[in-house]
Amino acid sequence: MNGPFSWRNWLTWFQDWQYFLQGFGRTLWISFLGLFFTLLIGVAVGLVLCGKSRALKRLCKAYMSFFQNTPLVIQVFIYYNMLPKLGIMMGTVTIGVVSLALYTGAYAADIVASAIRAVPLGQMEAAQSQGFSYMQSMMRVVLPQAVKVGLPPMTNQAVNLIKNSSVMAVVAGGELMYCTDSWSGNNLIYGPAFVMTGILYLIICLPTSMLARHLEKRSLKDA
Amino acid sequence: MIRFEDVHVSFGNLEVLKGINLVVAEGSKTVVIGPSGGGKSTLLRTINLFEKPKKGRVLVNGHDMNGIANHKLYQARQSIGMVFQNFNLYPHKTVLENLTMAPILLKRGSKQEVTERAMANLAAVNMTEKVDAYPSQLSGGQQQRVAIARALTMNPEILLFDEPTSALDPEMIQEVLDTMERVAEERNITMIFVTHEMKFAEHIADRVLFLDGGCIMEDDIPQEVFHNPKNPRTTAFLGKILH
Ligand SMILES: Nc1ncnc2c1ncn2[C@@H]1O[C@H](COP(=O)(O)OP(=O)(O)O)[C@@H](O)[C@H]1O
Ligand SMILES: [Mg+2]
Repeated sequence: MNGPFSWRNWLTWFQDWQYFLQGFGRTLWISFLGLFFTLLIGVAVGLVLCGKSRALKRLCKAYMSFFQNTPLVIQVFIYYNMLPKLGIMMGTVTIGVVSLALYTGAYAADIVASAIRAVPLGQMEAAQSQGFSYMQSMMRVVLPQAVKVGLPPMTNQAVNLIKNSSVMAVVAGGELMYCTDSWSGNNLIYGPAFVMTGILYLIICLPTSMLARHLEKRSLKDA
Repeated sequence: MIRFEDVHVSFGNLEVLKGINLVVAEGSKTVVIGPSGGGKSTLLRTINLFEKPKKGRVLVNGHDMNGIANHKLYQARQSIGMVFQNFNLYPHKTVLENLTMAPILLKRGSKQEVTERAMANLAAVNMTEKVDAYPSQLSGGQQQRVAIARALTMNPEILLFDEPTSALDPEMIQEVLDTMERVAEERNITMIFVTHEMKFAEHIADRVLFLDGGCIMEDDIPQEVFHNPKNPRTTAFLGKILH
């Protein structure tokens, strides 16, 4: 068999599997950290959106509009090429985590805000009538209920985040997509590399998507 | 003691309470009646400062709720229980946890004390066998009885009931009324009920207020308000309610 998917090409790929594994590991690591900070940003900004301070709300909305409406790849470029000129140097993992968290966080905030709004107002009132402060009521009563509503769409954002981590390839991020790109360029073998990389993304994203769908069904059943 | 001094409350341009003057004695049981939109809920909600007076003040045990620091307000609210029309139990907590969460976290007693108190209050509302159930597994009447026990477990000095039976199916109303009646008789807690249950009011109230258009139109013992109302608006309202 000849062509891009010849046995020889597959064999070459398998000989270098560890290189891909390394990229895969870095993708997982960047995604994990990115997701962690996405959740932090999402909850913090979501709380502000449901809060009383107009000034903070406006600030958060500006953040969300900006990050939702510019391509992630341009944001990554800015961190990589422009920030160093201002004296801010970040490693590629840091750039990956920061860019993914700021980008996905802008969507996560919307999810958190609507999940909070889905909890009946009476819950906040019941908690406050017992003497809980606003924040205590949020943490003890409202957010635990909002999690149920917000978890399925948040899991979908996790899938997006993992796939989006591939844009790090444009700044030599060292993650799976970058490894694939550079390995293919060096060996002039594209077929097996991109297919296998697609499968690797599928291996993490598909179960996560299925989890999202499962959670969604369960939350519909409970409601 | 609760004292309203010329209390005005507005939502935007709509004045909902128009200069309320009222003293509620410690341990007394007051029933508030009146047409929908008359300001009954707002009156209750002003006591724990869920609504702020635009003018005038509400004193609870001599303290102006509007003037105090936030942490003092939260502390004051611990002693002012509220029972809602829609129960508002915490759906992610069991019955027992609904009762114990706030008093434990807010240190209204040790965990053991609070749990013992909660079990006693569950017994008082006849809900002991549902101690481990979740609110969604209970009927409306059962939920409201748990909500009453939840409020009691805070050891409140004041209990506010905002139409506690209005959201219930007819066959469940009586069990909740009986529960409230028992609680009202047994506990020396200042209680204010907003309700349309006139028989209940006649049984337990020391005093009935008729609130209409943001003003107290009638304020007397239940026998007088129900059988010998002074204000024609009271007569008209009672005529509508009873038929
Ligand atoms: N949060 C609010 N915002 C705007 N208007 C309100 C609000 N709460 C109550 N109102 C209005 O105030 C009036 C009195 O309401 P309320 O105190 O709930 O009366 P009641 O409990 O006697 O039915 C009504 O006209 C109602 O629409
Ligand atoms: Mg009302």
